[in-house]
Amino acid sequence: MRNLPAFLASLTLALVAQAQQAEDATEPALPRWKTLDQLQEVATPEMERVELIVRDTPPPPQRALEIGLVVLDPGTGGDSLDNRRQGVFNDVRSAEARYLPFALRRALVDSNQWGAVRVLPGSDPGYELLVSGRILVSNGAELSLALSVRDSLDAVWLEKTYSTVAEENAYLEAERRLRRPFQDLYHEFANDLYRLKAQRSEAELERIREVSELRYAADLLPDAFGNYLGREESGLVSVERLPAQDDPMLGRIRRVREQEYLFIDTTDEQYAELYTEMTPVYDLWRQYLREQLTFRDAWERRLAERDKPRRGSYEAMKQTYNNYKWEKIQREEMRTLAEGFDNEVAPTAMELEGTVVQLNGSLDQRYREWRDLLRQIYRLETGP
Amino acid sequence: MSRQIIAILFAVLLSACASEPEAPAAPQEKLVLPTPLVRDFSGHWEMDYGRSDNVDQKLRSLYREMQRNAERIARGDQRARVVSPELVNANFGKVIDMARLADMITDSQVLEIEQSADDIEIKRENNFTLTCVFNDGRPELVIDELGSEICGWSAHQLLFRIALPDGLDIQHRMSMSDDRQRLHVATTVDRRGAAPFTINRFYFRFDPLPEDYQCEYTLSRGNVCQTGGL
Repeated sequence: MRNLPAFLASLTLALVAQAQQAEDATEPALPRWKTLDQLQEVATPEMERVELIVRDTPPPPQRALEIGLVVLDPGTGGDSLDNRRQGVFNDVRSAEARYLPFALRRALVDSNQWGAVRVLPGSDPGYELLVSGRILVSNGAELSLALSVRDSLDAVWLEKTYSTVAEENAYLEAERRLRRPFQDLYHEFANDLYRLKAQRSEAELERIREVSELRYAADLLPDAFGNYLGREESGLVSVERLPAQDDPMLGRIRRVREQEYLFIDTTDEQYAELYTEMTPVYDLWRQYLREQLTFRDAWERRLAERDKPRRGSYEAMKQTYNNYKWEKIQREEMRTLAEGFDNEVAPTAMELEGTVVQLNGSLDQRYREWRDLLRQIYRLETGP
Repeated sequence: MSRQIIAILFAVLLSACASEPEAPAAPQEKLVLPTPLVRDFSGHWEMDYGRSDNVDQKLRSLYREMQRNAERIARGDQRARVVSPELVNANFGKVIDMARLADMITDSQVLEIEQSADDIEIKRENNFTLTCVFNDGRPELVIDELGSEICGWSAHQLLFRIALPDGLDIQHRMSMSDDRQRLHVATTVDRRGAAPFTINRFYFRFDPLPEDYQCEYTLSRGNVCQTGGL
């Protein structure tokens, strides 16, 4: 029994090696990340560019829905060490979750099809159109977002996964000036949303706006406005009755909502600043990620092409060790890059924290606090 | 499935370590977390060639030993059994292969070690960084596409075992002198069907030149350095 632990330790390691060998025997050791070849299969063969559908003049007010883009779910639920091993860096993802909605916002604003488009720190179900989503993949070579859009009636406009790959020259300075990396994805999303709006009648859009206002009012003052709305069997929000347009309470609600928009617009400026400052660093980060994938592909190809040395020989053992070594070194490199990224982005966020609002997660809390404050102001105005 | 089996085996291994007071395991195999930290390897280390193994000499010595052993066997000398039977049967060509591999993977002249109560990072020149999260005393097992690692404390020694495909097993055993000025890394390379080969590397502590500036790596500007801290 003296050597039981030692025996078990050896057995465990032998099993690990055996399991590894079994895996090796059935399929070659491929990285968890997609190779560039695999990514090219995902991409359209000719990499057709998606042009944004743009209006020459702003839409008439009755078709100018307002859009709220909620900060994305970074998609980093697991253990940060595990994430890192899979090439997902929590700090970078957290910044991306704030950056990418702003990139989508730009496409929507550029399309000239909408009213105000705002990036929201937290969800607001009463928004005329609310965009939320999750980052599925973001590695410099591929971007994949699961996006969902619903209106104030709770009708789902779309639920779709948008994926695209960066073109080979996407990160060249000249190319970047002409076209942002992954621009096709942002354009595709904006175009989809435009087409969905085009299918709606003006009456439907008007209903969305009415419900949005009443949901906001009911949220702020449930006793007064709660019974204006109901639910259809389908689950959609319905209007039971409408307040008079000159209803003084509604007038106050509109004033309060303007105050809230002021807050959102202030934070929006901060997002814009973050977007501007982050863009060059973020492009570099994504460029490095792409180069790493390219290097990885080339390395794997060289390995596959090389003659297999005799099993158990020095050359075979050296190759086995070096495969492991380069895999580890590459991950370390990624970690260093992620830290370098964070060293540039974090101070921006901290600087923002000190001025108007906190951008690191607690903005949602601030937003709720601000709304509570508005409720209190409203109650003071109207009395108990 | 294999991960579950491995996890169960680790649980058995740990309970076996804890429940054998009458027959303690060899201390080098008992993986426990030292609390408080018993050995802090932090610092910069440079190879001491004078004390480290010379692979050529070690191979010559092994060869002579094998020859002597073979002669003993030929004479029917009982002492031949005292010597490791693997050594007797080993093909010397395989021994050379193992020695070359051990030499290659331990050729880092400089180590930079950062250690906290929670983890350790051993940055090795021209090689990958060995990292170990202490995990409240539980040995950390990491299974990757190209190999598996386990690490943990064995008394005052820090152990890393790396299981690679094709039955290749590498073990690094690190210990430090009481005055904290010398570091010993014993690396054993093992493979089924071949005799294990151990190479000893010794390092002495050195203090890098004092820096009046601090640097921070940034993506767009590379290392940004400034005096008086960032």
